[in-house]
Amino acid sequence: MEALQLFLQQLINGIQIGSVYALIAVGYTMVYGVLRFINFAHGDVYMLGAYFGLFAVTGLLANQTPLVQGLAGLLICMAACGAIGVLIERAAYRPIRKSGRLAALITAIGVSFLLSNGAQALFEARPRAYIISGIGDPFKLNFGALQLILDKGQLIILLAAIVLTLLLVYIVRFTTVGKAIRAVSFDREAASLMGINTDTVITLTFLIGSSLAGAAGLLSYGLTRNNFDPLLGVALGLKAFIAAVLGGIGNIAGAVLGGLLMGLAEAFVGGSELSPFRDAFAFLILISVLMFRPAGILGKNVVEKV
Amino acid sequence: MRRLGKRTAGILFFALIIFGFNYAHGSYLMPYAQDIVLQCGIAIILAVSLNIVNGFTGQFSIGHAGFMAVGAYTGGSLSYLIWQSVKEGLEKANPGWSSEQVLQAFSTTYWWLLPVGMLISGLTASLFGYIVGVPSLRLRGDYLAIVTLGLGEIIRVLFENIKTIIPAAEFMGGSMGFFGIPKIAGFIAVYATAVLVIVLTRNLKFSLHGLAYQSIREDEVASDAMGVNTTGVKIAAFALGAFFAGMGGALYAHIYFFSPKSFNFMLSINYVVMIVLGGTGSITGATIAALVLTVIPEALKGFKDYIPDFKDEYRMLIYALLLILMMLLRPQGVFGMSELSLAGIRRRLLRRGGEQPSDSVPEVPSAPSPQPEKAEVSPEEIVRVEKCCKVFGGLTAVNNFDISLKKGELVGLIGPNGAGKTTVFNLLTGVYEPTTGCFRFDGKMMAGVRPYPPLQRIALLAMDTVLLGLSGWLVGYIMSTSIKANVTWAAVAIAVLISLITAPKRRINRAGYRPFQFAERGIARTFQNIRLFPDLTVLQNVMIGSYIRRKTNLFDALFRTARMEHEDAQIEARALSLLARFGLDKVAHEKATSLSYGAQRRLEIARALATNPKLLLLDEPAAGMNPQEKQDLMEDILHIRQEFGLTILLIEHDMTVVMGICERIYVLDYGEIIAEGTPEEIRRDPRVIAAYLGEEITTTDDKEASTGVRAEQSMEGA
Repeated sequence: MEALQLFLQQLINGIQIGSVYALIAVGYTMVYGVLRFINFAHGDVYMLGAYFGLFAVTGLLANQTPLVQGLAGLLICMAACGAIGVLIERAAYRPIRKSGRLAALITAIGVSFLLSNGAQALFEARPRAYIISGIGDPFKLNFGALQLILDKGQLIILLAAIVLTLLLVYIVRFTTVGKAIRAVSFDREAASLMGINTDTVITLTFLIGSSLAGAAGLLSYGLTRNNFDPLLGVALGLKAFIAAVLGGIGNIAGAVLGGLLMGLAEAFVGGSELSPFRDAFAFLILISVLMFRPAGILGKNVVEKV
Repeated sequence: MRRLGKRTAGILFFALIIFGFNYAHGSYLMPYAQDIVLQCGIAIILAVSLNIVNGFTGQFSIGHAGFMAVGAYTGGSLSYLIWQSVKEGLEKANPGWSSEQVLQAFSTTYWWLLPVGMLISGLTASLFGYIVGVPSLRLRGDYLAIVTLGLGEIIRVLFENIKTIIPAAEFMGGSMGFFGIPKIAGFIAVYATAVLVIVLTRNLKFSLHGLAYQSIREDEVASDAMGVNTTGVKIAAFALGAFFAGMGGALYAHIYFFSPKSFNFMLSINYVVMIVLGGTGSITGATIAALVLTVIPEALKGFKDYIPDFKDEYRMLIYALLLILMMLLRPQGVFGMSELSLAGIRRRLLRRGGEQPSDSVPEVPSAPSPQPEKAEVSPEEIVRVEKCCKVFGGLTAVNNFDISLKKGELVGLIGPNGAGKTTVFNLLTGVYEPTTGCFRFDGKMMAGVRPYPPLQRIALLAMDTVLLGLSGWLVGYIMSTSIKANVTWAAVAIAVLISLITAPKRRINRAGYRPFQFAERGIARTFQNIRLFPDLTVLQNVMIGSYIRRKTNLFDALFRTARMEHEDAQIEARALSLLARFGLDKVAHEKATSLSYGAQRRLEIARALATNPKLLLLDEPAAGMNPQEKQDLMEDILHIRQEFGLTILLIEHDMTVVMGICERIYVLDYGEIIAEGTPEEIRRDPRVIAAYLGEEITTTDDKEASTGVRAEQSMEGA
């Protein structure tokens, strides 16, 4: 019984961590889809989301009810991060778009340095934590002899992640904008010949991806009391990126699946005796998946046309 | 002898410079500046070695620091163990000595320790590189980037927890850092290594092997088709880069204190930035960028003296801004792909008594030009394709395709657009594997279903099962300790069960031959959409074709042995004579992309001929040519068939070309052969006309002739 209880507990933790990864991974995968480019700065946008959340909740919305704090905070984070994503795309990525992948990657790394060090200079390097009041209290679920400890924060994270993902799926699947995004990621040149303004679509992709990262920033820190600092973006962004590759880069469902897998692996490895090796496992899983399914779990292997 | 003299002089020259600078370094520089100079040297080693992977082969490794870590720990451990075992003895024997004197005595007695340690470190690192390279370099795209990134992290985590894995390795200190390595490396060791790495890399770049490396960067598909084992070469490049990085790591270990965190992601990124800023592919660029990018952050530290509030973050901010600005202004890097030619300067310094530099081009025999006669067609069959099908998803691109070519034949393959002609070429060159059916070339089975021999299959399946079982065990172990209940064996059982259940469906057929193996066996091709190596010269493009017929190895290339020089000269001469054959010798040193369209097509043929093929596949060679060029092309094709004893299969829409030179023609429509025969027969075949015009025609003779003309025009227009 204890084993089952532990198992379910880790499962829940894993899904919660994974849902945050999924939200970030979606941003990587969408940008990769339209530009074939690894947006290294995406993890730092997520980090900024955490800070925006901090300032919104403890500053601007300090006297509001938790519900208002949560919802308005989420909107503020999404809007602010979305704006930053668009700014990055316009100012840094667009001018070098034709200069090749290496140049793009180096620029992205430069932007990542800029954001993390800028945040360090502005917000100090010390780790911070905050919580939307009234959310952190754990509560117990009893199913007969099974007793699971959850807290509201975890549930809200999961719920919010599901809602946001569904919203994204709706946009990508059922709206004109979504169709345009899919068209551009399928074949940018052909899409532009069909009258799609690819520049706008690319900007929109950055807007959506970055606002999801912003949401993830608030969700994963404003609801959990976890510490964060200006340099977390690189490491966390990497894991989210791995999640995207794991699921099949360019594929939104794959990013979600990959994120969940990463979260589960992290939860179970973290709880095991091998926890010191936790960070290595992400990559170990990645390498073993790539050996057998080079295009990721849901990805399709594309043969280059000769 | 002259070579030897030149080489000795070169070594002496560099030795003199290094010793001279070493003296200056020790005597005139402050310790802080000395340290920066050493850092620069190590950065040069790492940047130049990364350039082999990222610059030459155009792959994308961003975990170079991981290999450095492997080198540092390997070399560091070796020295540590020896040092610790003799240190006390030395101290006891000479009680009055200071610790520096003891170290001095140690490094004099064990002078070989550093070079040997570096060699072992390099080998260990390249072994790691090989293991990582094999699974990830099969794939194209960004996968290597992700995997190398991962490798760097895995290596870091492993060394942080080394005690848990190997209790005996506790002396490595885990996350605390590795204490107690004798710091015996200095300026001479660092810069001798740096010079060595630069010289070897340079030798490689300008050899035939280096060309093959660069061809992968330029166009991997074409490179494969020209007989370069792209996966093998990429792995070799990766292992070589790792080797040098390991050496650099070993040096680092003998100068600085380090912990697993020293070799983090940021360090790897630093090296990537260096080669991109310097110009990927340029050794000069990598070297200079390594210097500049090591000095700039240090120089920015100086701001602290002037601006009291200057925080360390500002330094990084400026660095980041410079990086972005640099990419905006000059994305190809400072040096692009070119090198600053030191060779000229060196040659001038070394030349004695009117000795000429040895890079004059050997005489090229002018192309013989016999009148093309009717080539003799032997009855021997060289190509046999039987019941070949290729299905893409729901589309059958080629259906029940049968052809047979005799040695020396010149055969045309025509058909409307989308009939599957190029797919046939891709099947005949190994780009695609047939879904069913088979292809024999010169009596050998080249493509088709090739089942494993039963014993081999069983061995492979057993291996799979063991691997899966092991991963099951790992997962089980994690689960067990995580949920505190023993499920390890259950997990192993599930993994093994999965392996056994899926066994009947796995490991049935062997993987097909790769395109380079087709090229090795004598099949060469040109491409419908020209695929030259754009940034290489015309001459280099053709030289790469000779890569499969090489007799030298990587070692020859690195050390520029006499064999290598001889072969390079030979291949260059051969390439030049081939170019002369096609009237391209005047533009031999131009970039391939600077040629006219027609000239590029001829260059593709020359490149294909350089592989020494038996069968030549020409995919629309006349496309984009003017009438005069077409006429010349037809003569050329007939000539080369004679001269090189070729069998030629030709795809062409231009009916004057096809009808003019082909002895036999196959007509393909919707993936099926609909007609076969002499040009005359094909011209009259109603099915062919219908395929082109899309209607059934039953007419009298004279009308048929006129429709034939119409068909011809429409074919030309297609």
